Formats: sequence, structure tokens, C-alpha cells
Amino acid sequence: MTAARPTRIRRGLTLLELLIALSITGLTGLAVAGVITAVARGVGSISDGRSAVQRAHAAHARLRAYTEPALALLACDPARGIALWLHDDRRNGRVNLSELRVFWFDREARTITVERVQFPADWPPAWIEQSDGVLALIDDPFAVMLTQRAMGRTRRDVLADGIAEWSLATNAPDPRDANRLRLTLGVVAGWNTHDHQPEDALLTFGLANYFRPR
Amino acid sequence: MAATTLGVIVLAVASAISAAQKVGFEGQKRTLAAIAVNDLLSELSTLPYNQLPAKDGMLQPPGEMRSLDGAAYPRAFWAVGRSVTVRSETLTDPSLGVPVRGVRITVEARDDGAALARAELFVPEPRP
Repeated sequence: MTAARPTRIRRGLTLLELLIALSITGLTGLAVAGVITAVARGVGSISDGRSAVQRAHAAHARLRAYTEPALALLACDPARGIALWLHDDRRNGRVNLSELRVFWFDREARTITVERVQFPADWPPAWIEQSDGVLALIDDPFAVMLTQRAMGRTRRDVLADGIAEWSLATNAPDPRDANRLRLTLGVVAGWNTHDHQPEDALLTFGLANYFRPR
Repeated sequence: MAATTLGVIVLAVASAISAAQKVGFEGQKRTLAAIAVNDLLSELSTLPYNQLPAKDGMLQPPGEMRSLDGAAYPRAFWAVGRSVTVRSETLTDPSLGVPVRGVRITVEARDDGAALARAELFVPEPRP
């Protein structure tokens, strides 16, 4: 009679098997991390693009609210801004101070602001009428607005932010003869707009009510 | 078993992210299309009335948009194109009963497949 040989029971992994399993887990983890990083980068880039497009759209809508009823461009200077004759409420065919709007581009703050003359609320209408002078065609509308600002008679509002660059063009050499304005904006995304590369956006505006001031 | 589970999870996450990106891109395209449509309509409104019919049939395929003065749109607009139709029309104001002759300008922005945005403007014929 021969005795039965005892069966070998494996109770764990050999050191080699354990090392192989750990290596496979590590490689898989690295691959998954790589995929997640790439996807996150892609999502971040798309999100930045979307944010820039929304900024451009907001700037477009706000500027259009001024250009659509506007009567004429008065000046167009990439280094300073755009001066617009918004309406002729005084009905004299000429540009009065209260009818002037100046759009400033602030490269440092990356904003476009609009500024208008606002006389003190407690002034009687006769004072306002007297102070609401007419701009001569030779006047520099930017200098005129700065003079009014120095006297504390203007109000400024931010129209668009996250604007890193802008360039302007009109369909006539003299902006006063132009009825179309082209604005190329370099729009950046995100809250900290200094961290992002600008995305170009072209915005065009037509002055359907064009009327050259006297 | 573990590898299969991991693969399924990664695929599910990837497809969810891809779907979200596609929806986001479509939204971005529609925003750009709205800008493009409004821009062209605004530019066309500056043309003399008798020049408007000549713009009927104007077509700018995706990626080839230009302003009325010939400036090319930047690369952000690569997926958007636009077209113009100009039709003669007579509108009658119901309260006054006065017929007003003019043209209806329609600008539509499209990608390769579908319409993305559309805007219309009625321009009355100026008095002689």
C-alpha cells in the first residue's frame, strides 16, 4: 500500500507575481491619468474658447445698442477710441455735448468703456441748455470729453472686459464720411484675463441713420 | 474582469465628455452665427436702396466669410457661413391700411449642414 501524497495548497502570491501585478496596476493608472489630463486640457481649451466667444457677443450687443441709432462717427483712433454722434435731441443738425459718446479702450484694464457728458442733476434746464455747447467740426471729441471729465461732468460705464487688443477700420478715410465701422477685438477668456491668449473676433457695425453733422 | 470594468468606465467617461464638448461647440457656433448674421444685416442697411436687390443670392461658404468691405473673418468663425436673400414685398399696416413697398432682406448663417441663425429686415422704398 502506498500512502497518498499530500496536496500542495497555494495560500498567496509569489514575490514575482506580486511585483508583476503592481507594475500592471501602476501602468494602467499612469495611462488613465494621462487620458484624464489630456481630456481636462481639451475641455479647458474649449471652455476658454466659449468664454471668449460669449465676451465677444456681449461686446457686440452692447456696442450695437449705440451704433444702431447713431447718426455719425466723429473720430476713430485705435490709440484712443471711437467718438460717436448718438442722436440729435437738440434738433440743430450739429453735435451737442450731451449727444456725444466716446468709447475708450484701456489696454491695461483690458476694458472698453463708454463715456458721456452728464450735467449735475440739480441744475435747472436753462443752465443745462447753456452748458450743452456745440462741437465744431475742427474740435477733437476726445479732448472735449476729457475737458468735461476734468470738470466732473461725465459718466463712464464699462461696456466690455477681457479685451486685450482692438483695431478699427471704417469704409471711408475720414470717419465723419463713414457709415460702416469694423472692429477687430482680441478677446481673452477666464476670470484672470492676463493668463490667456486672445481670440480674435471681427465685429462690423452699420450706421443706417447716417447723417453728417454740420 | 478588472480590466474590462476599467475599460467600460473609461469609455463611459470619455463618451460623456465628448457629448458635452459637442453640445458646447454647437452653442459656440450658434453664438458666432448670431454675430455674423447681425453684422451683415447691419452692413446691408447702410447701402442705398437701389443696390439692395444686387445682394440677392450672396453666398459665403463656411470659413470664407468676409465683411461687406472685404475683411476676412478670423479663424474662430471657421465653421460658419452665411447667405442673403432680397425679396420685393408690400406691407400693409392694418391700422392705417396704407401699403408700403420695399424689400425684405433675409440673412441666414449655416454650417455645413443646418441653419444656425436667421434675421430679417424690411427696408421701405424711399420716396422719389
